[in-house]
Amino acid sequence: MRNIRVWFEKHEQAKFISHLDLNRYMPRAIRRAKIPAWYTEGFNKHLYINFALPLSLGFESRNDCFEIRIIDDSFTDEQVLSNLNDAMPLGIDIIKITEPKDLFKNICFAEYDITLDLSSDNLKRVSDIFLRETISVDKKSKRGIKTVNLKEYISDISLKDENGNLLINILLPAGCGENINPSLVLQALSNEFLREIDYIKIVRKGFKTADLKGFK
Amino acid sequence: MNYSLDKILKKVQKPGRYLGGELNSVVKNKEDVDVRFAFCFPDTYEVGMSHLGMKILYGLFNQKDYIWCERVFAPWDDMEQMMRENDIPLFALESKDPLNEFDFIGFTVQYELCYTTIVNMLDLSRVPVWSKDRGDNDPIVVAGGPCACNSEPIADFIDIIFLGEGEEVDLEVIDLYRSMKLKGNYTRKAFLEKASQIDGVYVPSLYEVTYKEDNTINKVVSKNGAPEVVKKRIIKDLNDCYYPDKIVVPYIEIIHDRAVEEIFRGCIRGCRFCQAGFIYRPVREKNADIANDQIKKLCESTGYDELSLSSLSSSDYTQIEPLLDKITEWTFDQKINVSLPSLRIDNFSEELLSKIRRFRGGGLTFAPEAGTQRLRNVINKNVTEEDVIKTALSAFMNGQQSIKLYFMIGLPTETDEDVKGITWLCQRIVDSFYHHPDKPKGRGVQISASVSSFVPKAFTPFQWEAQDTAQTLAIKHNMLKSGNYSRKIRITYHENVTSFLEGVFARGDRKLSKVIYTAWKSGCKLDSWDEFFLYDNWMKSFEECNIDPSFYANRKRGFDEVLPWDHLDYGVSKSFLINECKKAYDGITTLNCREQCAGCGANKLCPEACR
Repeated sequence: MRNIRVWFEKHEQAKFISHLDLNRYMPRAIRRAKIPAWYTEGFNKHLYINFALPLSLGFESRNDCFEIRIIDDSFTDEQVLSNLNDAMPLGIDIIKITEPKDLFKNICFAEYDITLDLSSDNLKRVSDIFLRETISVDKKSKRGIKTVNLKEYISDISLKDENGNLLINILLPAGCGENINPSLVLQALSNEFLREIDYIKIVRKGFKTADLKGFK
Repeated sequence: MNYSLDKILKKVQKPGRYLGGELNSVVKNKEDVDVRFAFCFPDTYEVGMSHLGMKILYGLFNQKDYIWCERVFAPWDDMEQMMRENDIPLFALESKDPLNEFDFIGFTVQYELCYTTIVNMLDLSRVPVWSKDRGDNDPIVVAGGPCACNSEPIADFIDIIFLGEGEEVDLEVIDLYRSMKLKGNYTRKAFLEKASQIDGVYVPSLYEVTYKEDNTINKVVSKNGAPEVVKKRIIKDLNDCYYPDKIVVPYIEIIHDRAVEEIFRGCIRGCRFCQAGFIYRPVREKNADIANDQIKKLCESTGYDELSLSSLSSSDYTQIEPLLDKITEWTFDQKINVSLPSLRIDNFSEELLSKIRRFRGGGLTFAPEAGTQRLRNVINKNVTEEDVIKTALSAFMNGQQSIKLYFMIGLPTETDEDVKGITWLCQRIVDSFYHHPDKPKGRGVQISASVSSFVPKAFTPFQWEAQDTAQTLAIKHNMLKSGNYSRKIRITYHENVTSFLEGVFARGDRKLSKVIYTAWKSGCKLDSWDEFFLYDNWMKSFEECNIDPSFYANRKRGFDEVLPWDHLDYGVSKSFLINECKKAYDGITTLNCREQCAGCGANKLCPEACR
């Protein structure tokens, strides 16, 4: 018996498959792929599976992962990789299988590439927004809406041109503390430009632990 | 992905409904096929993807290399708005091509409340909504399914209606179309006339309906060589018939997300209210080994861990226990859960119960339908109170904590006693459990009784009955509520303005097409959804068209009236239905087909089935 971490990427064609959908999809895919995975005991047996962090609908991801437990030690990681890849929908690729190292609960940050539906001519103006001390945005939570200062949550940010559009690379809190969704960045921009600023593509590139090291 | 579609999908609920690309969906090259078929389910993705008929025909059509069949579902309101604003016509999921590029647009009509959705989908596809307005370059609009047996209200929107089972006739019509196109002699008119010669094909435009002064039908006359009476098609041998070994696996959650295996068609019981039991006669069973094989292939190709055995009355399947045994052999360690809906109360043995309980617990549902023996006899639900109590008790004693019971109110000859009888019956079941000497200690039981209102349907002995009015039903509902005292019993009653409309269309005629059109124009669609059902718009539409809906629903008809579906033959004879109706009023029951043949006439269609 061993726990394995299945690393995958979610590309454009799969971005509308929600996290819940994926949760429902995986057990069937694993069954089709004939992977000897562990199911919980008890009357209502289900596949034991844990995802690192959910991903918002419409976003892509790289360096994403989930964990399952393999009950047959002779079934190799290579076999898991190739069988599972065959059972994936278009847009989801299994990249590698590793032994779990850092715990999911140690994830503290997520890095995003946000390609905006906004000309890169606006680079300076947007850059100035993020130099301000206060960037007010409304954050929705279970208890209602509260106004927060987005600036407090940004650890790292850089801007560049991507085929004429503005691309923001940003590190935001995720997992162990607050969860700051990149849609709040869009909100901040919309407030500045006084019109809805939409994204062309948002990619969650990976996770980092509290010490800003890459999550493994 | 198309950028404008992409932008829209970001803004709508459940974009997974409109994506396509699911496992086992079929993508072909449109240049390589001769016929493109858009299979439309006139409701949302979640509802349509649960439907077995679509799974069968999708697989069947796509098996032919010259046909490409794709799926289409009704968009939700938010998506429809975006589509109309952005000039995006209704498209099929696999290719994303607009429907007006297809050869056939086919609707499966499962219930009457989807009629405005059909019109809406045609409009969204930019196909002329009325048959008479379509030309040689427009797709052929076809329909099939249970409502085909009285499709008169939508007859003016549909070019071809398939009666009965579609596995053979659908392909015959597609082949005819293809050969005419290849030969170069295709015109819409010529094609429809030739198609009308195929058994099971009903071309409404080739039938003229005239009415009497009192608004009942005078007669229905066929023209241009179309048959006077159209007979339904059936598949004689289910073992020699196509069944899919792969079904499309959705991403998003759908209503019934599982593998489905059909075990037999038709029903032996002859419950007098039940349309399905009559229109799918005679009974034809599938061999248990073949069924087991098909189930294995389905589970392998999908990875589903839930399976449902589908039929009208599963415990009547003669091979039910052997089949469950066969399934248990290979499913238990695969942890596949089997559900067996549609169980009879009077043949639910201890053995069957124990086999079912091997699988993950589920609900047990039975349908006594009426609260008193007298009324059960009237509707020919040949089930005694003793059967009901014995079966419920057996389930409870074996660990089942709750059971669900289905009832109806508004049945013919119903009295207050009968309505109250529902509560009393549930109470007696609960009492017999609590008074049982060996009842398991420390555990309670629950009965949940679901009560709906009876809608008379075509091709049943009750097709001449007057449906109860909303006022009468409201009084009966109050009777139900006030009679219930026990906390072990939960009675839910489905509120019913939609039942009234269902009743109008179930036995309606062609005059109703104007009403459907008017209602749709005023904003009606997805009528089976609470959030969209606009009762006032419907009533205004009836008024505008000068039609009284209660003429169809609440009027008792005479046996000699020409019914809107008399020119369609589903095997069961009218004289049989009249006789059954008379027996109902005398409270006399009819034995099931296996006990004694009642001469319904369906055996003409398939003598082998009724040996």
